[in-house]
Amino acid sequence: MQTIPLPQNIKDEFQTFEALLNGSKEPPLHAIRTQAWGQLQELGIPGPKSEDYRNTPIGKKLSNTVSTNTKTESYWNEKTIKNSKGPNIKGYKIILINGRFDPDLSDAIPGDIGVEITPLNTALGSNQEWVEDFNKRFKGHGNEPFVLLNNAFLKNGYCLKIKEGAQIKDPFLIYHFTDEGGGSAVENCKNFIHAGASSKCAVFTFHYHHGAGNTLINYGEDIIVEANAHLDFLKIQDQTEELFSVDNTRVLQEKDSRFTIFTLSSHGSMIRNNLHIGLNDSGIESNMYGLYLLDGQAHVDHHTIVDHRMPHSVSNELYKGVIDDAAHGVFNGKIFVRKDAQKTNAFQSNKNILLSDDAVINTKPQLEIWADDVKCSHGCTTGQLDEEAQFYLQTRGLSKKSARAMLLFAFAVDVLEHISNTEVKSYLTEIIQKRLNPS
Amino acid sequence: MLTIKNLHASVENLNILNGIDLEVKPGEVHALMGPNGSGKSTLASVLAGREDFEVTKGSITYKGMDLLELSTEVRAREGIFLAFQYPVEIPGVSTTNFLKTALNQVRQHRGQDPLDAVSFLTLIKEKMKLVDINQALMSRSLNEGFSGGEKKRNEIFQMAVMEPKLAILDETDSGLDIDALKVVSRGVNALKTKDNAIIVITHYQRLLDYIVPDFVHVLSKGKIVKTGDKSLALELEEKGYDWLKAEV
Repeated sequence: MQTIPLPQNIKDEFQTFEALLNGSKEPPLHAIRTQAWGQLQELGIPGPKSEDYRNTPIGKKLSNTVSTNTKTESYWNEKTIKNSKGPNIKGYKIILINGRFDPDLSDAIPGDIGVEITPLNTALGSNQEWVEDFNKRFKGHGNEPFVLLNNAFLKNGYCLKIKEGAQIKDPFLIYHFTDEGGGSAVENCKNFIHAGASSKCAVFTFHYHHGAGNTLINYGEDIIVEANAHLDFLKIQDQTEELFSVDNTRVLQEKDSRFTIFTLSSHGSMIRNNLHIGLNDSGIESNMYGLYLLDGQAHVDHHTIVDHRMPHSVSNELYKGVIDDAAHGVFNGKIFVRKDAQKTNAFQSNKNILLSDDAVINTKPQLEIWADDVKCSHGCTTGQLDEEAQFYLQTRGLSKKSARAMLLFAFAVDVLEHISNTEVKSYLTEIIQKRLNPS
Repeated sequence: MLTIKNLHASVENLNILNGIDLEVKPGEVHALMGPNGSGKSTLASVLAGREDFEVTKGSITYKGMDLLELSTEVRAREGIFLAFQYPVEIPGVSTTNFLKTALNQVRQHRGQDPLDAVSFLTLIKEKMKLVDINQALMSRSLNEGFSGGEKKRNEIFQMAVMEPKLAILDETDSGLDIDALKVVSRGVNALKTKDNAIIVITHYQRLLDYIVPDFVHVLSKGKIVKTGDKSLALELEEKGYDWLKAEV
C-alpha cells in the first residue's frame, strides 16, 4: 500500500489522548495502544496512489482535516435522540454517543439471558484480558492503517459477550450517535463482539450523524463467532448525510458457525466500509449482503475480503447499488481460497443501476484461489433502468415516476430476502421505499 | 373512436409507416395482417406511445383527442390497452402488486375512488377465472419463468382488469398451442361489448376463427393495401401474401 505520513494533527491528538488516560495506562491494554501507534507511525495512512484507496481518498481528506478542538456541547442529548425517530423494533436498546456508552439512555439487560454488554471506557479494567485475547486472535488479520488508528485510541465503544449456548430471541439494537462537537480530526469507536459456542444472537446497528463531515469517524468492530454459533449483524448507515467515516469490521468464524452481515448505506459524504471475514475452519457459512442508494454527492465504498482457510465452507455475497446525481459508489470484493480450503463454495455478485450521466461506480472482483477443487463464481453488472419494463408499466396506466420507483424498489429490495427479523425487514423496506420514491 | 389519417412514422430515420388510414368504431373488431416488417407492430407501438418511434406526418384522433399529444400512461388511463407480443419480464414486481397501483392511478384519472384491498382481490379473482390463470402466478415476479402461454394469458388477464375501450392485441396468438389459443380467445370474446373495440394483429388466420373480425386489413410496406371482411383472411391463408403483391 502506498502511504503518506501521519498528519501532525493526529499525532497531537494522540498525545492529548494519552495524557488524559491517567490511571488507565497500565498494560496489557495500553500495550495494544502503543504497539498500534508505533505500527501506524511506521506505516502511515493510505496515499493518493494506494490501490486500495484509489477511488476513495480517505488519506487525502484526512490530511486536510483540521483539529479545531472547539469542544462544544454534543448535539446529541436525550431530547435530540428521542426526536431522531429510530425504528420501532422489539429488542435491547443500547445508546452510544460519540462512542461513549450511555447507560442511562440504554435498556438494562436482564441478567439471565446470557448476554453481557459493557462499555469499553468504564470497564476497561475487567475487560483488559478479554480485549487482549481478542487482539491476539486478530493478529495478522487485516492490519489496516485505520484498524491501527482505532487500536491506538482504544477507549470508546462496547464489549458484547454472548455466552456459550445462549439463544437470544430479541435483537440488540445499537444506536451510534455521532457529531463533530469535539472538533478533533478523528473520533474513534471500537467494539468487540464475542458470540460464544452454539449461541444465537442478532445485533442491529443504526448510525446517526450530525455535522459537516470535518471529523473522521473511525469505527472498528472485531467479531468472533465461535463454533456452531449464529450471528446476524446489520449496519444501517441511513441518517448519515455528511458522515466522513471508515468502518473496519473484522470477523473470525470458527467451525460450523454462521455469520450474516447486511449493510445499508443511503447517505454519506465519504464512507469506506472495510469488511474482512476469516473462515478459520470447516462447515462455515458466511453471508454478506449490501445495498447502497446514493444521490447528491454521496460517496460510499465497500471493500470486502472473505478468506477461506479450511475445506467445506460456503460464502455468499450480494451487493447492489442505485446511484443517482453525481454520487459515487465503489465495490471491491476479494475472495481468497487457501491451499487447504478444498471443496469451498464462494459466490459473489455486484449489481448496479446508474441513474444519471454523472453517477459513478467502480466495481472490481478479485479472486485468488490456491485450492484446485472449489466452486467459485463472481459477476458484476452495471446498467441503466430497464426502459422496456418502464414502458410496459406505463402502458398499464402507471405514471413514469411510479413505474421507475417500482422497478428500482424491486431491484433493491431483493437484497433483504435473507433478513429473518420481520420488524427490521419492514423498517428497511420502508427506508428503501421512501428513498426511491420521494413524493 | 379512433381515426388514423395518413400516418407516417420512423425509427432511427428509417420509415416504417408510410401513410396509414384507419377508422375504428365502437363495437368493431379489426384484424391487421401482413408479412414480417410490414409495420403491424410499429402501428401498435405508436398507438401505445412508445418513444422510440417518431411520427413524421399524419394524425391520430382518439375519442376526439389528439392521441399523439398524450403520454403513454394517459393513453392507458383513457382506455388504450396494448397486449405485448413479447411481454416483459420484471424481476421482483408481481402482477397483483403493480396492477393494484396501476388500476388505482387509472381510477384516479377517471375520477373514481381507489379500490381497497378486498375489492381489488375480488376483482382479480373474478378476472382470473376468465382466462383460467393460476393464483400463484399472480404473486410471482411478472413473466419471470412463465411459459409462453402463461405470459399471453397474463396479458389478457390484465386487459380484463383494465377494461379498455380500445385493445390492441399484438400477435397474442404467436407461440400458443390450440388449447391456449382457445382460452385466450374466449377471454377476449368475453370482454367484447358494443362500446369497446379491438385491433388484432396476427400472422395467422387461425386466431380469426376464434376472434371473428368485422374487418381485415392487409399491411405491406407501411400501408394498408387491402381491406375486406373475414373472408379476406381465408383467402390470404390460401394464397399467401404474394398474391396481393401481384395485385397491388
